[in-house]
Amino acid sequence: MDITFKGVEHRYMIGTPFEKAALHPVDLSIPSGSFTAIIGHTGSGKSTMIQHINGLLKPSAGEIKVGPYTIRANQKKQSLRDLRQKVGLVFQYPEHQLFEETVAKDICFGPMNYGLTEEAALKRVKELLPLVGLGEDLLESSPFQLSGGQMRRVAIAGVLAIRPSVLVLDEPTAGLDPEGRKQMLELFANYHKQFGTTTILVTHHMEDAAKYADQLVVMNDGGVEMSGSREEIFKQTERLLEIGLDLPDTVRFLQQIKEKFHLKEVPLLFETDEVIDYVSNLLRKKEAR
Amino acid sequence: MFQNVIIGQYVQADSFLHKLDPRSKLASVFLLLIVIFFADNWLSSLLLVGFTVMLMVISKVPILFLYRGLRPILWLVFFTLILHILLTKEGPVLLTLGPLAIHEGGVMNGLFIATRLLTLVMLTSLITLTTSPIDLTDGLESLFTPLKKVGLPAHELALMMSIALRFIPTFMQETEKILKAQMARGVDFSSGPISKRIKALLPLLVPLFISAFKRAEDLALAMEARGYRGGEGRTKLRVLTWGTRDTSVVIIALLIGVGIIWLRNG
Repeated sequence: MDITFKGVEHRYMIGTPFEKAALHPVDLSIPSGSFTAIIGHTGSGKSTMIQHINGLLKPSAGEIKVGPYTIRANQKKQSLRDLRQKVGLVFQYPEHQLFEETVAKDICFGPMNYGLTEEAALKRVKELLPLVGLGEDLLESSPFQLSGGQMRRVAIAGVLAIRPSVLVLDEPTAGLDPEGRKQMLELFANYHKQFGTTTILVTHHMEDAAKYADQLVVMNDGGVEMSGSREEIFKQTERLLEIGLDLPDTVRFLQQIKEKFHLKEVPLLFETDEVIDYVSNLLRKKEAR
Repeated sequence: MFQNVIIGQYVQADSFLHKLDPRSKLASVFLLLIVIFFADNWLSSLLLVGFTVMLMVISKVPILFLYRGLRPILWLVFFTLILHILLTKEGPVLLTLGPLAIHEGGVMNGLFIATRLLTLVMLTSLITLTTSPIDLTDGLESLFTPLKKVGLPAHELALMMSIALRFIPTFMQETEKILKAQMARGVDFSSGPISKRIKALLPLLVPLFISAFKRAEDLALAMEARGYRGGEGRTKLRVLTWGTRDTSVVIIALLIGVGIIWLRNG
Protein backbone atom coordinates (compact mmCIF):
# COMPACT_ATOMS: atom_id res chain seq x y z
CA MET A 1 0.00 0.00 0.00
CA ASP A 2 1.26 3.48 -0.83
CA ILE A 3 1.90 5.67 2.17
CA THR A 4 1.85 9.46 1.97
CA PHE A 5 2.45 12.04 4.66
CA LYS A 6 1.10 15.47 3.82
CA GLY A 7 2.12 18.32 6.13
CA VAL A 8 2.00 16.06 9.16
CA GLU A 9 2.78 17.74 12.45
CA HIS A 10 2.77 16.26 15.89
CA ARG A 11 2.81 18.09 19.21
CA TYR A 12 3.06 16.51 22.60
CA MET A 13 1.19 17.85 25.64
CA ILE A 14 -0.85 20.41 23.78
CA GLY A 15 -2.14 23.21 25.98
CA THR A 16 0.40 22.78 28.77
CA PRO A 17 3.60 24.70 29.44
CA PHE A 18 5.43 21.54 28.33
CA GLU A 19 4.05 21.63 24.78
CA LYS A 20 6.65 20.41 22.37
CA ALA A 21 6.68 19.90 18.63
CA ALA A 22 7.94 16.40 17.88
CA LEU A 23 7.28 16.57 14.15
CA HIS A 24 7.50 19.66 11.99
CA PRO A 25 5.47 19.45 8.82
CA VAL A 26 6.56 16.16 7.30
CA ASP A 27 5.93 15.41 3.64
CA LEU A 28 6.90 11.98 2.51
CA SER A 29 5.79 9.28 0.17
CA ILE A 30 6.61 5.62 0.40
CA PRO A 31 5.63 3.61 -2.67
CA SER A 32 3.85 0.30 -2.31
CA GLY A 33 6.17 -2.69 -2.14
CA SER A 34 9.29 -0.68 -1.41
CA PHE A 35 11.87 -1.26 1.32
CA THR A 36 12.41 2.08 3.01
CA ALA A 37 14.96 2.78 5.71
CA ILE A 38 14.45 5.68 8.07
CA ILE A 39 17.64 6.92 9.67
CA GLY A 40 18.29 9.68 12.15
CA HIS A 41 19.83 10.06 15.58
CA THR A 42 17.95 9.61 18.83
CA GLY A 43 15.17 12.17 19.26
CA SER A 44 14.95 13.05 15.58
CA GLY A 45 11.29 12.03 15.44
CA LYS A 46 11.62 8.63 13.78
CA SER A 47 9.53 6.72 16.29
CA THR A 48 6.92 9.47 16.49
CA MET A 49 6.59 9.47 12.72
CA ILE A 50 6.15 5.75 12.24
CA GLN A 51 3.51 5.51 14.96
CA HIS A 52 1.31 7.67 12.76
CA ILE A 53 1.22 5.00 10.07
CA ASN A 54 -1.18 2.77 12.01
CA GLY A 55 -2.92 5.52 13.93
CA LEU A 56 -1.33 4.92 17.33
CA LEU A 57 -0.54 8.62 17.28
CA LYS A 58 -2.84 11.15 15.64
CA PRO A 59 -1.40 14.08 13.74
CA SER A 60 -1.87 17.57 15.20
CA ALA A 61 -2.04 18.87 11.63
CA GLY A 62 -1.92 17.41 8.14
CA GLU A 63 -2.98 14.00 6.91
CA ILE A 64 -1.61 10.52 6.37
CA LYS A 65 -2.80 8.23 3.63
CA VAL A 66 -2.16 4.50 3.85
CA GLY A 67 -3.67 2.77 0.83
CA PRO A 68 -7.42 3.44 1.04
CA TYR A 69 -7.27 4.76 4.63
CA THR A 70 -6.83 8.40 5.56
CA ILE A 71 -6.03 9.82 8.98
CA ARG A 72 -6.55 13.54 9.32
CA ALA A 73 -5.88 15.95 12.15
CA ASN A 74 -8.95 16.75 14.27
CA GLN A 75 -10.83 13.87 12.77
CA LYS A 76 -13.62 12.45 14.87
CA LYS A 77 -12.99 9.09 16.44
CA GLN A 78 -12.84 6.43 13.78
CA SER A 79 -12.28 2.73 13.72
CA LEU A 80 -8.62 2.03 13.14
CA ARG A 81 -9.09 -1.71 13.33
CA ASP A 82 -8.84 -2.38 9.60
CA LEU A 83 -5.86 -0.08 9.24
CA ARG A 84 -4.05 -1.72 12.14
CA GLN A 85 -4.61 -5.12 10.62
CA LYS A 86 -2.94 -3.95 7.42
CA VAL A 87 -0.02 -2.22 9.13
CA GLY A 88 2.11 -4.44 11.35
CA LEU A 89 4.31 -2.58 13.79
CA VAL A 90 7.29 -4.19 15.49
CA PHE A 91 8.39 -1.99 18.38
CA GLN A 92 11.85 -1.68 19.84
CA TYR A 93 12.51 -4.64 22.14
CA PRO A 94 9.31 -6.37 20.97
CA GLU A 95 9.95 -9.26 23.41
CA HIS A 96 8.46 -7.02 26.12
CA GLN A 97 5.00 -7.56 24.68
CA LEU A 98 4.92 -11.33 25.24
CA PHE A 99 2.39 -12.44 27.83
CA GLU A 100 0.80 -15.77 26.94
CA GLU A 101 1.45 -19.15 28.53
CA THR A 102 2.84 -20.74 25.40
CA VAL A 103 4.70 -19.53 22.34
CA ALA A 104 1.92 -20.80 20.06
CA LYS A 105 -0.76 -18.88 21.95
CA ASP A 106 1.25 -15.69 21.89
CA ILE A 107 1.80 -15.82 18.14
CA CYS A 108 -1.91 -16.60 17.60
CA PHE A 109 -2.97 -13.66 19.77
CA GLY A 110 -2.84 -11.02 17.00
CA PRO A 111 -4.50 -13.03 14.21
CA MET A 112 -7.26 -14.17 16.57
CA ASN A 113 -7.91 -10.57 17.63
CA TYR A 114 -8.57 -9.88 13.98
CA GLY A 115 -11.13 -12.66 13.80
CA LEU A 116 -9.17 -15.73 12.73
CA THR A 117 -10.16 -19.08 14.22
CA GLU A 118 -7.65 -20.90 16.36
CA GLU A 119 -7.01 -23.59 13.72
CA ALA A 120 -6.41 -21.03 10.99
CA ALA A 121 -4.10 -19.05 13.29
CA LEU A 122 -2.15 -22.17 14.25
CA LYS A 123 -1.76 -23.02 10.58
CA ARG A 124 -0.18 -19.62 10.01
CA VAL A 125 2.10 -20.15 12.99
CA LYS A 126 3.40 -23.43 11.53
CA GLU A 127 4.08 -21.68 8.21
CA LEU A 128 5.88 -18.82 9.90
CA LEU A 129 8.18 -20.79 12.17
CA PRO A 130 10.86 -21.72 9.59
CA LEU A 131 10.76 -18.15 8.29
CA VAL A 132 11.60 -16.61 11.66
CA GLY A 133 14.00 -19.42 12.50
CA LEU A 134 12.18 -21.12 15.36
CA GLY A 135 11.73 -24.85 15.82
CA GLU A 136 8.29 -26.44 16.22
CA ASP A 137 9.42 -28.00 19.50
CA LEU A 138 9.26 -24.54 21.09
CA LEU A 139 5.57 -24.03 20.40
CA GLU A 140 4.35 -25.46 23.68
CA SER A 141 6.99 -23.92 25.94
CA SER A 142 6.51 -20.70 27.85
CA PRO A 143 7.89 -17.67 26.02
CA PHE A 144 9.60 -16.61 29.24
CA GLN A 145 11.85 -19.66 29.25
CA LEU A 146 13.38 -18.75 25.91
CA SER A 147 16.60 -16.86 25.29
CA GLY A 148 16.42 -13.15 24.48
CA GLY A 149 16.93 -13.72 20.76
CA GLN A 150 14.27 -16.43 20.61
CA MET A 151 11.82 -14.24 22.52
CA ARG A 152 12.30 -11.52 19.95
CA ARG A 153 11.65 -13.96 17.12
CA VAL A 154 8.44 -15.07 18.81
CA ALA A 155 7.32 -11.47 19.21
CA ILE A 156 8.10 -10.72 15.57
CA ALA A 157 6.26 -13.85 14.46
CA GLY A 158 3.31 -12.53 16.50
CA VAL A 159 3.22 -9.45 14.28
CA LEU A 160 3.92 -11.26 10.99
CA ALA A 161 1.11 -13.74 11.74
CA ILE A 162 -1.39 -10.91 11.22
CA ARG A 163 -0.16 -10.85 7.57
CA PRO A 164 0.27 -7.10 7.33
CA SER A 165 0.66 -5.48 3.91
CA VAL A 166 2.85 -2.82 5.50
CA LEU A 167 5.52 -3.87 7.97
CA VAL A 168 7.03 -1.16 10.16
CA LEU A 169 10.14 -2.14 12.12
CA ASP A 170 11.39 0.16 14.85
CA GLU A 171 15.04 -0.78 15.40
CA PRO A 172 14.36 -4.50 15.41
CA THR A 173 18.03 -5.33 15.93
CA ALA A 174 18.65 -3.20 19.04
CA GLY A 175 20.58 -5.17 21.62
CA LEU A 176 21.41 -8.12 19.35
CA ASP A 177 24.94 -9.35 18.68
CA PRO A 178 26.31 -8.86 15.13
CA GLU A 179 25.39 -12.39 14.06
CA GLY A 180 21.87 -12.06 15.47
CA ARG A 181 21.50 -8.71 13.78
CA LYS A 182 22.46 -10.12 10.41
CA GLN A 183 20.07 -13.05 10.74
CA MET A 184 17.24 -10.78 11.81
CA LEU A 185 17.72 -8.45 8.85
CA GLU A 186 17.98 -11.37 6.41
CA LEU A 187 14.68 -12.57 7.83
CA PHE A 188 12.99 -9.26 7.05
CA ALA A 189 14.62 -9.03 3.62
CA ASN A 190 13.37 -12.53 2.76
CA TYR A 191 9.91 -11.80 4.06
CA HIS A 192 9.86 -8.60 2.03
CA LYS A 193 10.79 -10.48 -1.15
CA GLN A 194 8.47 -13.39 -0.54
CA PHE A 195 5.31 -11.45 0.34
CA GLY A 196 5.93 -8.11 -1.37
CA THR A 197 5.13 -6.17 1.80
CA THR A 198 5.90 -2.49 1.99
CA THR A 199 8.68 -2.54 4.57
CA ILE A 200 9.82 0.39 6.67
CA LEU A 201 12.93 -0.10 8.74
CA VAL A 202 13.98 2.41 11.39
CA THR A 203 17.65 2.03 12.11
CA HIS A 204 20.84 3.57 13.44
CA HIS A 205 23.04 1.41 11.29
CA MET A 206 24.02 3.03 8.03
CA GLU A 207 25.31 -0.30 6.67
CA ASP A 208 21.92 -1.93 7.17
CA ALA A 209 20.14 0.98 5.56
CA ALA A 210 22.51 0.95 2.59
CA LYS A 211 22.38 -2.80 2.18
CA TYR A 212 18.68 -3.55 2.41
CA ALA A 213 16.70 -0.44 1.52
CA ASP A 214 15.84 0.88 -1.90
CA GLN A 215 14.78 4.21 -0.48
CA LEU A 216 16.35 6.09 2.42
CA VAL A 217 14.80 8.80 4.52
CA VAL A 218 17.01 10.88 6.79
CA MET A 219 15.29 12.56 9.69
CA ASN A 220 16.68 15.41 11.72
CA ASP A 221 15.09 17.55 14.40
CA GLY A 222 11.54 16.37 13.73
CA GLY A 223 11.63 16.82 9.97
CA VAL A 224 12.70 14.97 6.85
CA GLU A 225 16.20 16.18 6.04
CA MET A 226 16.64 14.26 2.79
CA SER A 227 15.28 11.24 1.01
CA GLY A 228 16.25 9.21 -2.00
CA SER A 229 18.38 6.28 -3.12
CA ARG A 230 21.47 5.31 -1.12
CA GLU A 231 23.73 6.98 -3.69
CA GLU A 232 21.79 10.22 -3.43
CA ILE A 233 21.94 10.17 0.35
CA PHE A 234 25.48 9.07 1.02
CA LYS A 235 27.08 11.45 -1.44
CA GLN A 236 26.02 14.24 0.92
CA THR A 237 28.80 13.20 3.27
CA GLU A 238 29.29 16.52 4.99
CA ARG A 239 25.65 17.19 5.72
CA LEU A 240 25.25 13.72 7.21
CA LEU A 241 28.21 14.20 9.53
CA GLU A 242 26.89 17.65 10.44
CA ILE A 243 23.60 16.26 11.76
CA GLY A 244 25.43 13.66 13.79
CA LEU A 245 25.04 10.64 11.52
CA ASP A 246 27.66 8.19 10.45
CA LEU A 247 28.57 6.86 7.02
CA PRO A 248 28.57 3.20 6.02
CA ASP A 249 31.97 1.64 6.71
CA THR A 250 32.76 1.27 3.01
CA VAL A 251 31.93 4.90 2.24
CA ARG A 252 33.91 6.15 5.22
CA PHE A 253 36.89 4.02 4.28
CA LEU A 254 36.91 5.41 0.74
CA GLN A 255 36.62 8.95 2.09
CA GLN A 256 39.76 8.37 4.13
CA ILE A 257 41.53 6.88 1.11
CA LYS A 258 40.58 10.00 -0.78
CA GLU A 259 42.17 12.23 1.83
CA LYS A 260 45.31 10.13 2.31
CA PHE A 261 46.01 9.81 -1.41
CA HIS A 262 44.83 13.33 -2.26
CA LEU A 263 42.40 11.98 -4.81
CA LYS A 264 39.92 14.24 -6.54
CA GLU A 265 37.09 11.78 -6.36
CA VAL A 266 36.24 8.35 -5.07
CA PRO A 267 33.24 6.29 -6.13
CA LEU A 268 30.37 5.49 -3.74
CA LEU A 269 30.64 1.78 -3.08
CA PHE A 270 28.66 -0.27 -0.61
CA GLU A 271 30.01 -3.78 -1.12
CA THR A 272 33.27 -4.83 0.49
CA ASP A 273 34.33 -6.71 -2.66
CA GLU A 274 33.88 -3.61 -4.81
CA VAL A 275 35.95 -1.56 -2.38
CA ILE A 276 38.73 -4.17 -2.42
CA ASP A 277 38.75 -4.17 -6.21
CA TYR A 278 38.83 -0.40 -6.35
CA VAL A 279 41.63 -0.03 -3.82
CA SER A 280 43.81 -2.78 -5.31
CA ASN A 281 43.41 -1.19 -8.75
CA LEU A 282 44.37 2.13 -7.25
CA LEU A 283 47.48 0.69 -5.63
CA ARG A 284 48.49 -1.13 -8.80
CA LYS A 285 48.19 2.11 -10.73
CA LYS A 286 50.37 3.87 -8.17
CA GLU A 287 53.03 1.19 -8.39
CA ALA A 288 53.00 1.21 -12.16
CA ARG A 289 53.74 4.90 -12.16
CA MET B 1 -1.13 9.22 26.24
CA PHE B 2 0.34 9.65 29.71
CA GLN B 3 2.25 12.83 29.05
CA ASN B 4 -0.23 14.89 30.98
CA VAL B 5 0.28 13.05 34.23
CA ILE B 6 2.14 15.14 36.75
CA ILE B 7 3.80 13.07 39.44
CA GLY B 8 2.98 14.15 42.98
CA GLN B 9 1.24 17.44 43.36
CA TYR B 10 4.30 19.56 44.06
CA VAL B 11 3.96 23.06 42.62
CA GLN B 12 7.19 24.96 42.42
CA ALA B 13 6.95 28.49 43.83
CA ASP B 14 8.95 30.84 45.99
CA SER B 15 6.92 31.18 49.15
CA PHE B 16 7.40 31.09 52.89
CA LEU B 17 5.84 27.62 53.00
CA HIS B 18 8.14 26.30 50.29
CA LYS B 19 11.19 27.47 52.21
CA LEU B 20 10.21 25.79 55.46
CA ASP B 21 11.94 22.66 56.63
CA PRO B 22 9.73 19.69 55.73
CA ARG B 23 9.92 18.52 59.34
CA SER B 24 8.33 21.68 60.73
CA LYS B 25 5.56 21.45 58.15
CA LEU B 26 4.90 17.80 58.91
CA ALA B 27 4.96 18.31 62.67
CA SER B 28 2.67 21.36 62.57
CA VAL B 29 0.16 19.73 60.26
CA PHE B 30 0.18 16.55 62.33
CA LEU B 31 -0.57 18.62 65.42
CA LEU B 32 -3.36 20.53 63.70
CA LEU B 33 -4.90 17.34 62.33
CA ILE B 34 -5.44 16.09 65.86
CA VAL B 35 -6.71 19.43 67.08
CA ILE B 36 -9.17 19.76 64.19
CA PHE B 37 -11.42 17.21 65.87
CA PHE B 38 -11.81 19.47 68.90
CA ALA B 39 -13.21 22.33 66.84
CA ASP B 40 -16.90 22.10 67.67
CA ASN B 41 -18.06 25.69 67.84
CA TRP B 42 -18.18 28.81 65.71
CA LEU B 43 -15.14 30.48 67.18
CA SER B 44 -12.74 27.54 66.91
CA SER B 45 -14.01 26.63 63.44
CA LEU B 46 -13.47 30.21 62.31
CA LEU B 47 -9.97 30.17 63.79
CA LEU B 48 -9.15 26.99 61.85
CA VAL B 49 -10.64 28.18 58.58
CA GLY B 50 -8.95 31.56 58.95
CA PHE B 51 -5.59 29.97 59.55
CA THR B 52 -5.97 27.54 56.63
CA VAL B 53 -7.03 30.31 54.24
CA MET B 54 -4.04 32.36 55.35
CA LEU B 55 -1.74 29.43 54.59
CA MET B 56 -3.39 28.97 51.21
CA VAL B 57 -2.69 32.60 50.38
CA ILE B 58 0.94 32.63 51.49
CA SER B 59 1.65 29.30 49.74
CA LYS B 60 1.36 31.14 46.36
CA VAL B 61 -0.06 27.91 44.89
CA PRO B 62 -2.54 28.67 42.06
CA ILE B 63 -6.14 28.24 43.22
CA LEU B 64 -6.74 25.58 40.55
CA PHE B 65 -4.24 23.22 42.19
CA LEU B 66 -5.75 23.85 45.62
CA TYR B 67 -9.18 23.05 44.24
CA ARG B 68 -7.85 19.89 42.61
CA GLY B 69 -6.78 18.65 46.04
CA LEU B 70 -10.27 19.18 47.42
CA ARG B 71 -12.23 17.85 44.47
CA PRO B 72 -12.13 14.13 45.34
CA ILE B 73 -13.73 14.71 48.76
CA LEU B 74 -16.34 17.30 47.81
CA TRP B 75 -19.04 14.63 47.42
CA LEU B 76 -18.15 13.07 50.74
CA VAL B 77 -18.39 16.46 52.44
CA PHE B 78 -21.72 17.12 50.77
CA PHE B 79 -23.19 13.79 51.87
CA THR B 80 -22.03 14.08 55.48
CA LEU B 81 -23.54 17.53 55.56
CA ILE B 82 -26.90 16.29 54.25
CA LEU B 83 -26.93 13.26 56.56
CA HIS B 84 -26.19 15.41 59.57
CA ILE B 85 -28.86 17.91 58.69
CA LEU B 86 -31.47 15.19 58.23
CA LEU B 87 -30.56 12.80 61.02
CA THR B 88 -29.37 14.83 64.01
CA LYS B 89 -32.24 15.62 66.33
CA GLU B 90 -30.90 18.32 68.60
CA GLY B 91 -32.06 21.81 69.46
CA PRO B 92 -35.15 23.61 68.19
CA VAL B 93 -36.83 22.54 64.93
CA LEU B 94 -36.10 24.92 62.07
CA LEU B 95 -38.20 23.38 59.31
CA THR B 96 -40.49 20.41 58.80
CA LEU B 97 -40.80 18.67 55.44
CA GLY B 98 -43.39 15.93 55.80
CA PRO B 99 -41.86 13.26 58.01
CA LEU B 100 -38.49 15.04 58.09
CA ALA B 101 -37.68 17.67 60.67
CA ILE B 102 -34.56 19.76 60.35
CA HIS B 103 -33.11 20.70 63.72
CA GLU B 104 -30.76 23.58 64.44
CA GLY B 105 -28.25 21.21 66.03
CA GLY B 106 -28.15 19.16 62.83
CA VAL B 107 -27.32 22.13 60.65
CA MET B 108 -24.63 23.27 63.08
CA ASN B 109 -23.07 19.83 63.45
CA GLY B 110 -23.15 19.28 59.70
CA LEU B 111 -21.38 22.55 59.05
CA PHE B 112 -18.74 21.85 61.69
CA ILE B 113 -18.02 18.40 60.31
CA ALA B 114 -17.82 19.79 56.77
CA THR B 115 -15.34 22.48 57.89
CA ARG B 116 -13.24 19.87 59.67
CA LEU B 117 -13.09 17.63 56.62
CA LEU B 118 -12.28 20.48 54.27
CA THR B 119 -9.53 21.97 56.46
CA LEU B 120 -8.09 18.51 57.10
CA VAL B 121 -7.72 17.77 53.40
CA MET B 122 -6.55 21.29 52.60
CA LEU B 123 -3.82 21.21 55.24
CA THR B 124 -2.49 17.86 54.09
CA SER B 125 -2.58 18.87 50.42
CA LEU B 126 -0.72 22.05 51.30
CA ILE B 127 2.17 19.89 52.50
CA THR B 128 2.40 17.91 49.29
CA LEU B 129 1.82 21.04 47.20
CA THR B 130 4.68 22.97 48.78
CA THR B 131 7.18 20.17 49.49
CA SER B 132 9.01 18.25 46.81
CA PRO B 133 8.67 14.45 47.14
CA ILE B 134 12.37 14.13 47.94
CA ASP B 135 12.17 16.68 50.76
CA LEU B 136 9.09 14.95 52.04
CA THR B 137 10.79 11.55 52.30
CA ASP B 138 13.86 13.16 53.87
CA GLY B 139 11.66 14.88 56.43
CA LEU B 140 9.72 11.72 57.22
CA GLU B 141 12.91 9.74 57.60
CA SER B 142 14.35 12.30 59.97
CA LEU B 143 11.15 12.48 62.03
CA PHE B 144 10.88 8.70 62.30
CA THR B 145 14.52 8.13 63.20
CA PRO B 146 13.84 8.18 66.98
CA LEU B 147 11.37 5.35 66.41
CA LYS B 148 14.21 3.10 65.22
CA LYS B 149 14.69 2.14 68.87
CA VAL B 150 11.31 0.43 68.83
CA GLY B 151 12.14 -1.34 65.58
CA LEU B 152 10.69 0.99 62.93
CA PRO B 153 12.93 0.79 59.82
CA ALA B 154 12.83 4.55 59.15
CA HIS B 155 15.62 4.65 56.58
CA GLU B 156 14.31 1.66 54.65
CA LEU B 157 10.79 3.07 54.54
CA ALA B 158 12.08 6.40 53.26
CA LEU B 159 14.20 4.64 50.65
CA MET B 160 11.22 2.59 49.50
CA MET B 161 9.22 5.77 49.12
CA SER B 162 11.86 7.54 47.05
CA ILE B 163 12.39 4.50 44.83
CA ALA B 164 8.65 4.22 44.27
CA LEU B 165 8.46 7.90 43.33
CA ARG B 166 11.46 7.61 41.06
CA PHE B 167 9.96 4.71 39.13
CA ILE B 168 6.49 6.09 38.54
CA PRO B 169 7.48 7.87 35.29
CA THR B 170 9.44 4.84 34.07
CA PHE B 171 6.48 2.64 34.78
CA MET B 172 4.19 5.03 32.89
CA GLN B 173 6.43 4.96 29.82
CA GLU B 174 6.56 1.20 29.96
CA THR B 175 2.77 1.03 30.21
CA GLU B 176 2.38 3.29 27.21
CA LYS B 177 4.79 1.24 25.15
CA ILE B 178 3.15 -2.10 25.91
CA LEU B 179 -0.29 -0.58 25.47
CA LYS B 180 0.67 0.56 21.99
CA ALA B 181 2.33 -2.72 21.09
CA GLN B 182 -0.80 -4.66 22.04
CA MET B 183 -3.06 -2.16 20.28
CA ALA B 184 -1.00 -2.79 17.16
CA ARG B 185 -1.78 -6.49 17.63
CA GLY B 186 -5.48 -5.74 17.57
CA VAL B 187 -6.36 -5.31 21.25
CA ASP B 188 -9.13 -2.80 21.79
CA PHE B 189 -8.78 -1.27 25.24
CA SER B 190 -11.43 1.38 24.93
CA SER B 191 -14.62 -0.17 23.59
CA GLY B 192 -16.81 -3.20 24.01
CA PRO B 193 -18.48 -4.61 27.11
CA ILE B 194 -16.76 -4.29 30.50
CA SER B 195 -15.99 -8.01 30.75
CA LYS B 196 -14.17 -7.89 27.43
CA ARG B 197 -12.27 -4.78 28.43
CA ILE B 198 -11.12 -6.37 31.67
CA LYS B 199 -9.89 -9.37 29.73
CA ALA B 200 -8.06 -7.01 27.40
CA LEU B 201 -6.00 -5.80 30.36
CA LEU B 202 -4.25 -9.14 30.74
CA PRO B 203 -1.88 -8.62 27.77
CA LEU B 204 -0.96 -5.30 29.39
CA LEU B 205 -0.58 -6.39 33.01
CA VAL B 206 1.47 -9.56 32.51
CA PRO B 207 4.33 -7.84 30.64
CA LEU B 208 4.19 -4.90 33.07
CA PHE B 209 4.60 -7.13 36.12
CA ILE B 210 7.38 -9.07 34.49
CA SER B 211 9.32 -5.95 33.66
CA ALA B 212 8.69 -4.45 37.10
CA PHE B 213 10.14 -7.52 38.81
CA LYS B 214 13.07 -7.54 36.45
CA ARG B 215 13.71 -3.87 37.11
CA ALA B 216 13.56 -4.42 40.86
CA GLU B 217 16.14 -7.16 40.59
CA ASP B 218 18.40 -5.03 38.41
CA LEU B 219 18.14 -2.12 40.81
CA ALA B 220 18.93 -4.27 43.83
CA LEU B 221 22.00 -5.63 42.05
CA ALA B 222 23.12 -2.18 40.99
CA MET B 223 22.76 -0.89 44.54
CA GLU B 224 24.74 -3.75 45.99
CA ALA B 225 27.39 -3.35 43.33
CA ARG B 226 27.82 0.23 44.52
CA GLY B 227 28.21 -0.89 48.10
CA TYR B 228 24.80 -0.04 49.53
CA ARG B 229 24.44 -1.59 52.94
CA GLY B 230 21.44 0.14 54.54
CA GLY B 231 21.25 3.43 56.37
CA GLU B 232 23.94 2.77 58.98
CA GLY B 233 26.55 5.51 58.92
CA ARG B 234 25.21 6.97 55.68
CA THR B 235 25.58 10.70 55.10
CA LYS B 236 23.30 12.82 52.97
CA LEU B 237 23.97 15.09 50.04
CA ARG B 238 21.04 17.30 50.98
CA VAL B 239 21.00 18.18 54.65
CA LEU B 240 17.81 19.52 56.18
CA THR B 241 18.27 22.77 58.08
CA TRP B 242 16.01 23.85 60.91
CA GLY B 243 15.77 27.63 61.17
CA THR B 244 14.07 30.18 63.41
CA ARG B 245 11.11 30.31 61.06
CA ASP B 246 10.58 26.59 61.55
CA THR B 247 10.55 26.97 65.32
CA SER B 248 8.10 29.86 65.06
CA VAL B 249 5.79 27.90 62.75
CA VAL B 250 5.64 25.01 65.19
CA ILE B 251 4.96 27.46 68.05
CA ILE B 252 2.13 29.10 66.09
CA ALA B 253 0.62 25.68 65.38
CA LEU B 254 0.90 24.82 69.08
CA LEU B 255 -0.78 28.09 70.07
CA ILE B 256 -3.65 27.49 67.66
CA GLY B 257 -3.98 23.97 68.99
CA VAL B 258 -4.12 25.15 72.59
CA GLY B 259 -6.56 27.88 71.59
CA ILE B 260 -8.94 25.44 69.91
CA ILE B 261 -8.91 23.05 72.86
CA TRP B 262 -9.48 25.99 75.22
CA LEU B 263 -12.42 27.22 73.13
CA ARG B 264 -13.99 23.80 73.18
CA ASN B 265 -17.54 23.44 74.48
CA GLY B 266 -17.76 21.88 77.96
